[in-house]
Amino acid sequence: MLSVPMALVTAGSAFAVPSCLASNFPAVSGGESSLKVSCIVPVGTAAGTKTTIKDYAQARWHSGAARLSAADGTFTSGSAVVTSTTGHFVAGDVNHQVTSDLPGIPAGAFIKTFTSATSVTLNVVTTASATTAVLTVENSSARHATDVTRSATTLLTSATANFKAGDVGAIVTGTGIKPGTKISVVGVSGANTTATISQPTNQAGSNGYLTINPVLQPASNRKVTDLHNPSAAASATIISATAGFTQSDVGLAVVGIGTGWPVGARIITVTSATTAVMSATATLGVAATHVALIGNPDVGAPTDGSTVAQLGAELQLSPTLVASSDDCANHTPEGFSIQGTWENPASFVAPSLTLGAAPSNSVGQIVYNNSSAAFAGYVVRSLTGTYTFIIPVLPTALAQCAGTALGSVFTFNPITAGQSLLPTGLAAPNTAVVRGYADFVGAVPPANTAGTVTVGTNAPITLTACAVSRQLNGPTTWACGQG
Amino acid sequence: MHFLRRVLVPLHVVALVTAALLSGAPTASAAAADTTLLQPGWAVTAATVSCPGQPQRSMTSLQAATFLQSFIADAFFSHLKVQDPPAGVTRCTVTLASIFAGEPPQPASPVGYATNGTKVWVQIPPGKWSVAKQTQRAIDSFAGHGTYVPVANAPTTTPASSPKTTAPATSDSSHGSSTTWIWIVVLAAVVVLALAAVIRSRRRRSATTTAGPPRQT
Repeated sequence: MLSVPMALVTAGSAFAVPSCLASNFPAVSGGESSLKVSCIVPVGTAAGTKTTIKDYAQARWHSGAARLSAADGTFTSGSAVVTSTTGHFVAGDVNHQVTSDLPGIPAGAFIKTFTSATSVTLNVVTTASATTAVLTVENSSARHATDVTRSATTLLTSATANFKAGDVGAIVTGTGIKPGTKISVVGVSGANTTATISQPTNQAGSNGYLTINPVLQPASNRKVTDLHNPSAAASATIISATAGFTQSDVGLAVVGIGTGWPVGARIITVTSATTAVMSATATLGVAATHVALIGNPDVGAPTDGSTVAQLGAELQLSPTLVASSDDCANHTPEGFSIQGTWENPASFVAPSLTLGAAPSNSVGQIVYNNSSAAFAGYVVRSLTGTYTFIIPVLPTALAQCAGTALGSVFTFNPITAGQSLLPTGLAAPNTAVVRGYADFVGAVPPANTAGTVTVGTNAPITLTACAVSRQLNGPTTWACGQG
Repeated sequence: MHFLRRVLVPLHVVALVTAALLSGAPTASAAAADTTLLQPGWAVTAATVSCPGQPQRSMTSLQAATFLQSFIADAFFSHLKVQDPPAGVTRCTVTLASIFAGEPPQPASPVGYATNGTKVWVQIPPGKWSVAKQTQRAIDSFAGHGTYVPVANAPTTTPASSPKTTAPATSDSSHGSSTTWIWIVVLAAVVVLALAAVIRSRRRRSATTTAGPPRQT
């Protein structure tokens, strides 16, 4: 891992502009990955306040969202039928995982059959009864099956996987499945028990494990701040240049902040990446300034307050402003490190002195809080599915000695402690991560364009490019960057 | 006449600015103009101070920045002792807004302040009440007497001058926040008088020269 050489943070640094190094580990397709970015802001640089880390092209921060029912979920032990008058089930929910705050729905259960807006049938029977359960319905078809029979060629058979046309193109992993395999064809004569995959299995076998990933990265629970209506008239249509609406948004709640929003609205249609239709009308007007939360955290999301990041800094602090610091003339930098905790959009914390607002389409907030003061950064998803971490105001220059440099290290964990403790199968496959890398079909990984770091008003610094590898390639290629 | 016009316009501006400064309730533009840097790219505005049972008063941005400087770096960079002010100690609120380069305007946010004379408690939400490390400095700056520390590694923009704040804490907002206003008024008056003297002097000279026969043009 990287470290910031102390010699570089004292006065007289030779750097003329900020410089940054990055390290990803492990940079393996379809797996979680940490990110560490170390920067030096040299003497005399107009650092500004904003720090932006544009992540590598193939990096994926937590994605996925869910919708919640009221406490009216009903199921009977031994039956696979689940009902809820507030479930708002739709045909598109098929193959989406369902969990409950009350015991009875087995981990990994998903909707196999859509019956009505208030009733669905799971792929497994429930193991207890409930009438007041809060149901959580995931917004992706990521799921797994444990009864898969593999031919020696390309045929998979499962009584429970519920293969559907929407699975064509989905990357699959599991027992005897080669990396880079996708589903090519589903069903034989209309049956949903078979699928043909894109390359032969390693060997024939039965009762194998199979993970089916969604074809497209699901939308995330997020905060959007540039919403508006098409015109001054009340309308159920909402428009945003940043929200990046996808079909996986259908069913998610829209909780408006401020006036003009309906209560209890959800998305019922997605017209384009910038336009969606809600279940109720809003009176927002045409000013792109309205704020709403879309969706709820899914089961695999980092929980509020969980540690996901660290920020370290080496800098010379003025003893006039920080009581415990020594004289600036001594050129002895002080160092500190602070933990960053995750907040889901509905729980975003107002940082001290309003140190910057959440950018639109923020999927998570990382709060650096030492109990006396707090500042925050935001994980923002772009329309193309890349991610950027933005700290609107980094207060490191509050007490910096004149004519000194700043060294800072941003570290992001791949997974939280809570995510690692989730029971197997409870979260949808590959969702219980903070940051990771997308999987890919075939043998050749897509270009993993290097990210950039922008410090204040300086030009973006391009991080070292690297390729995402598969574990088959051996451990020597697992690292990415200078780590 | 041209000279007079050139002089009278500045006089008009001075009068308007002076009136705005004296109003005690700064206009939006006046408030926006009054900012002081906390760090490069981060400035704070003038503030409003509210203490239970006391008349509301205001701080200039320089006073507000000085007040924040008395504890904010300690709050971010060292571990202040988390402790609530004891019961009976008055809890005041200093409400100010931050302005960040390249960012939209931020709403005003409150900072808590309490003292029993020997200890100062501050609160920067969402942080908890904490004990300030530089007690006297915090007390002085809350009263408007602190010394502003110029921001390092920053372009020489705001504050332009007067790193020493001199305002008493008891000023009523309806009469300006501190003696700073008095100095501004005095300064403005001096400028007005000086300009008036210049104008009178030029008029006399003009009158003298125009007393002779008309000039050919």
